Amino acid sequence: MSLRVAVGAVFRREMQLFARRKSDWANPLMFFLIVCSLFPFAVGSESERLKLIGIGVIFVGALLAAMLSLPRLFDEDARDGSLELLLTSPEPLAVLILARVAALSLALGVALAVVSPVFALFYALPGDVAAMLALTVAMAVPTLLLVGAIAAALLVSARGGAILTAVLVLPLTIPTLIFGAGAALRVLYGESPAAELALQAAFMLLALALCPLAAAAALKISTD
Amino acid sequence: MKLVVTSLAAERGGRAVFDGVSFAAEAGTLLRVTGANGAGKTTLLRILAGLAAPAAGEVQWLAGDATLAPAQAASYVGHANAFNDALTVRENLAYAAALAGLDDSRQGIESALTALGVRNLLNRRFGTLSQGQRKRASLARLLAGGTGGSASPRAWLLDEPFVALDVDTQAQLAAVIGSRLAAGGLVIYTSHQAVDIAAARTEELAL
Repeated sequence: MSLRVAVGAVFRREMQLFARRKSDWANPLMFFLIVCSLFPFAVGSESERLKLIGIGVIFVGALLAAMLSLPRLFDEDARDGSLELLLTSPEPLAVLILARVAALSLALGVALAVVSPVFALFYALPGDVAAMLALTVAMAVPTLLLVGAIAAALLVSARGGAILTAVLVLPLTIPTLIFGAGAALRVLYGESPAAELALQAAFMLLALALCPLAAAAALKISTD
Repeated sequence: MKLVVTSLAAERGGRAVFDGVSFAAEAGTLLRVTGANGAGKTTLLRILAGLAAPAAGEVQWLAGDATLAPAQAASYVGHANAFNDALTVRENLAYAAALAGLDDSRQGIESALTALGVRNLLNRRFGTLSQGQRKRASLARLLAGGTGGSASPRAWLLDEPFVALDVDTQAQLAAVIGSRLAAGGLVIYTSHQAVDIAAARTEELAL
């Protein structure tokens, strides 16, 4: 009962912050837009070449944009002291962290998944590939945020934490990158993306099961 | 509510801060922790709150025969206000109360703010408040849950609660602490300044 209240409070607070501070979601989206629009300038604008790199560029761009919001997970709370509220709650910390990551994934994952197919059209990708990209980006963002929560917890209020977080987290997202971009490639070649999708979903569920526990343990160690 | 601390020792960055600290405090006691800067006052409170682990020794929160987790036994208010600038006072208080497992209803929050004389700040963004107003609004989270309806309400662990408060507010906070003690609460605090607090039992712990 009180666990439900606490989880609801964590979720609601994230949403209130997103609603009040537009930069929290507008900045990652703008970053995503800029990254995606730089590549055609570098490689030229022939549609065949764009089609080939488009999937990879959009997928990596979405992951980088999601990375940007990782410091937001605990750093701000550590500065103003509200992290202590989370740590002194009688409710299990892992569940509270999961609630916060879920809120962030929902807000950011949906936003990035919605704009991904739009950018896919810039790269001359057909509609069905664009739709598959939206789906795989929607799965990749929560995976990245879950894995990233561990690094963000370990490096909370550490100097240069943001860059170190990226260095630690991005390599761990390689599986979701391979399977997510792979699924979209399959659709581009007219094949079934089922295997890649299943593997990407499996990777997300694995992160869902393990990462909150690890992040909770990391947060307790780093704030001790 | 009873607190029993046995031969507690703490380290910060590999250096011993204090050791061999033992004491017991019962409900209704006002315990002031004193000591020079760096003596470990904040560290002690953080250990009591369960935020930090002791290097040695034991902290036991007892309610009757049962042992409670620190999170269920005590409310901790540290140096920082623990409120987000972008949210209103009410939203911040509701969040704090819900996480602590206390009453997060609107009435509870309003009466807590009224007790500290800042009912008018209810819907103000925390970031727009002055330092003193922030401190008062933030202290209201102690009161947000009432006494929890139980015979032995949660203990309060207050780290320098009187800093940044004007004389009137200090008296107000002292009265709030006094009535908590009268209601069977246990209050442990650190303070550089001597503040008059009405208490049936006052103790001092020098680190």
